[in-house]
Amino acid sequence: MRNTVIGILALLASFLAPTPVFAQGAPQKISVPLSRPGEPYNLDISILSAHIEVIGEDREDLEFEITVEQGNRQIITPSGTKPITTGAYSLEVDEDDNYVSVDTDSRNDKVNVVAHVPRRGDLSLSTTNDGEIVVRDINGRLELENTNGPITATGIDGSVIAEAINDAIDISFTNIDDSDAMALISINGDLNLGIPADAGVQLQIDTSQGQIVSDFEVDVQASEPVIERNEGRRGVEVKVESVIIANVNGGGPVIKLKTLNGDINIRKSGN
Amino acid sequence: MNRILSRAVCLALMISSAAVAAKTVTESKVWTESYPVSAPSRLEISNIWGTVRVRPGPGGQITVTVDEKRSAPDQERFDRSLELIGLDIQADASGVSIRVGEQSGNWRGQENCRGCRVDYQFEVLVPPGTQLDVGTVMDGTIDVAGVTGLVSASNVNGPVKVHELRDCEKLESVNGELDVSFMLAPVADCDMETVNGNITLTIPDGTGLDVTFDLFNGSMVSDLALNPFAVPATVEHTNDDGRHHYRIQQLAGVRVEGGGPSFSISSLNGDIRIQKTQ
Repeated sequence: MRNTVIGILALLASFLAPTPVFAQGAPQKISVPLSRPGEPYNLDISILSAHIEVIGEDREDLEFEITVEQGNRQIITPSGTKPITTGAYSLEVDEDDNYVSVDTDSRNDKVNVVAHVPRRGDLSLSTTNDGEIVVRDINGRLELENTNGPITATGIDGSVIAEAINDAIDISFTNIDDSDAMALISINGDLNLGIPADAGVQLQIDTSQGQIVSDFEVDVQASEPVIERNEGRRGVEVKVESVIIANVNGGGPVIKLKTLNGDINIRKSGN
Repeated sequence: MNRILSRAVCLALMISSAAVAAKTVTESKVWTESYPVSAPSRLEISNIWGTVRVRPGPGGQITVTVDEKRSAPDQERFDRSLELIGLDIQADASGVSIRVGEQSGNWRGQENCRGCRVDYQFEVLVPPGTQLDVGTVMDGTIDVAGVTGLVSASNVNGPVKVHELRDCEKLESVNGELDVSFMLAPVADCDMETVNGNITLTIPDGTGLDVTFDLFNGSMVSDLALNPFAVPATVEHTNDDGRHHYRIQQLAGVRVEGGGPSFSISSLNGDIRIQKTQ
């Protein structure tokens, strides 16, 4: 059964109840049952300007708390320009066979989405402007992208690919999935990686300006520059990439750490 | 369904030509017909090319004047256009319904009549209290004034101008402006929507309204005193064969005077102006 009858009835009841007048900043809550509760799910949130926070919990549905920050929408009246004090937005949540997506047409206002979700799921979260991505206590694959804000993920059991152009990435694992590729990439931000004290990983470090600090003893291997040649209609592109290969606890799954101007900090999780 | 008997053709000008240069075949004719109706009556017009103009008229009948211009690239397609594109008029005591296009209503089915075109300019007189639902698609204006019934009007590539209204239900244009004015304070809720057109709403001094906005670009200007107010958020849930869709929406709202019927105004790129009747 795709959704429990109880869940649907509860949801319908909540919709049939009188809608409260929305005080500014009060979150709108919505509960989304999964088609296959108890099984892994995918959550995809892509919002232009957003604080996205995903918290893993012992539960079978996804609960979203949504607020929209005061935008700059104004109306010009005879007594002067007045801000429109209520948020004006629409946000759409779809659930199809345990694939959940969140999207919005709001471009001007910052949306805050706090999602309370089952722990076992794969997340794809992205935002661009004035945003922040926070993830806690998730067991699964994480793809996190924030152009102009930080990314923080703690209590992660699985794998992470994170890209933040202008801000820091802070990832802390409780356990590392050795079957997936992982990468933390930033241009101007620091990379903070927390891994369990006994975890073996191979770090492929690529940094130009920053310093590298590690809680672990690392075994740095000699490495040759990787030369990649691509021929296309517009000519030949040759890419030379030189990385530092450092094994922690004898090595293991590869984690690529790349930043142009930031520092790289490798910590023991929990420290 | 009663068809009216008093069809009076005022002017029938037929010009069929096979111009040597373009070989375009054209035909024009104008005719007027009156349909007796009982109050409250209803007028529906679904046009494709051309203007729909509606004005108040005497009670007991709806009078329609149609200016038809038909053209096609050649005689063969002209003849085909006669089969494909025409007027479907249904009339009885409750009102008149006029649809331009195929019997199926799918005017896009004229793909096999490429280059064919039939412009209809409608001039309609309606009795007091007639409810309107009129629309066109391109190269025309929706022009309604002085009618006292509930009005719905739509356009795709042109303006919707509705003046001296009592009440409206839904007014929309994709690429044209909405210019809306009321003769008295409205009492019915009304939706106004454009994609690329400006919206001007003119209301009598002292009119109370609750207006919600769903805007993307564009500015909002009001000549009337108003105050922002909290609009309740809404949640819609649909289930399409196992695909659950939730839409959470909260609109911006302003209250004019002490509030009143709910007007929703939405536009992607248009500016909004609320002003009082001069």
